Amino acid sequence: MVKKEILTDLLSIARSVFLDEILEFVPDHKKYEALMIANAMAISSREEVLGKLDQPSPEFLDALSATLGQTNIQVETSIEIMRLAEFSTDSLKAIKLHQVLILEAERKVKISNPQYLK
Amino acid sequence: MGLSNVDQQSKLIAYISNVVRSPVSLSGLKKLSGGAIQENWALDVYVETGDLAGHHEWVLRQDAASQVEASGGRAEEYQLLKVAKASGVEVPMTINLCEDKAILGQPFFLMHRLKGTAAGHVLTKGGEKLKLVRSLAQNLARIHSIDPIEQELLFLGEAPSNPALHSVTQYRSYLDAINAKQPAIEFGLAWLQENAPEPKRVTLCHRDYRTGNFMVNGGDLTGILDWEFSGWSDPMEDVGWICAKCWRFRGKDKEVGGLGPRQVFYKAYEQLSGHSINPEEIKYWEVMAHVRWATIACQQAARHYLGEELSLELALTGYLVPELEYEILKMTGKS
Repeated sequence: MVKKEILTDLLSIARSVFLDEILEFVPDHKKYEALMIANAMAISSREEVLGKLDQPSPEFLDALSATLGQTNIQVETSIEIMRLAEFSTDSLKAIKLHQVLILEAERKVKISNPQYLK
Repeated sequence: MGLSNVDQQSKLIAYISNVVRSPVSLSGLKKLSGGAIQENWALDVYVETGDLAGHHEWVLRQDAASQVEASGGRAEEYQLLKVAKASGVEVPMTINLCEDKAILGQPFFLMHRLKGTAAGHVLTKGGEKLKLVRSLAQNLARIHSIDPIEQELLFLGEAPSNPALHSVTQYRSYLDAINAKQPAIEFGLAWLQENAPEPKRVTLCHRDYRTGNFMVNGGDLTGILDWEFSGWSDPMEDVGWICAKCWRFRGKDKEVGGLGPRQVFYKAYEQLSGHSINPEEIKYWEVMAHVRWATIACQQAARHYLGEELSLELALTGYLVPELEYEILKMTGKS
């Protein structure tokens, strides 16, 4: 946890200096790249605190297991279920699954682009 | 890559000189922004003698280092531009196609450079642009007047009998090919499979008809760009794509590409095409738009993470996926 805090702090301060003191000297044709760098730093900083975007949260996997009635379910299994011909997005199971998915999607948006939820 | 290299510039000068049968000089060579899949270069060409003598402002369009699966080649895109032009669609005038990889390492074509900007964040600033919205609707109706019997577009292959179901199958295979495990996108695909409409007609579709892919100068549409994804589909796919929330940039409340209201677009489209638009069907195609863009974003991110083309822009494209997933779930859920 200490490591995470240090890293977050370093990234945050580096980003702040970059935006406040460096960006104005970046030529116009490189501004887009510079803003992408600042965005990447912000995302990376949030990932350190909230978890990696490409890894499902333990809470999500638990909820998925409970919803689909299988212990220690893998994301792959949920995809296999959703691709079955008999799967219906109107079913009770699908409605519960949808609730679980939207919570996980919200968690991920808080990492990738928290402004989007405002 | 490519044209920043002096050797390649020399080859290009020799090539153009041969095409226009005159000595030429090149200036103003500049890579244009955008185009993660293709590279576009602005170039000013001075032709010394002959019919084309004088100064010309052109664009060179070539493949980027790596591709996404559904993207067509330059020869196909060149042909699409010619057919679209002949059907009255506003597109850049083509000049020449070069399929000889010995020149620049990739096939490329030359076309006239259009005036204006395509930048989404610029175009969606300020109030409604009704004239532009109507013009976009009319041009889309002209694209959709081209049907699968068009002999010049045989390379597009057979039209799918149900484009919606065809797309669902395709996107699942694209995700599988990069080993992407995205349950929210999969939920969207299951919903799209269940709710697929029967197509009323299948026509040429641009399949990337959105803000960012057309040029506007002084409020006027000057040309539709980026035809690399074009193919036969349900024309409502293009309407759903341009209306989808993910393509509105700064104009989130303006449903047609961040530019204006959908009723204006629908009316102009219906008047010119003679085909009515069912708003319920467009909702379906807006879900498809988010699923498709999310799938493409996964593919683009994979190009970076799999080491095909290391790029911050491609890596960041992967971080757009969560908000697309969130929209897909909001549009498809009953919870």
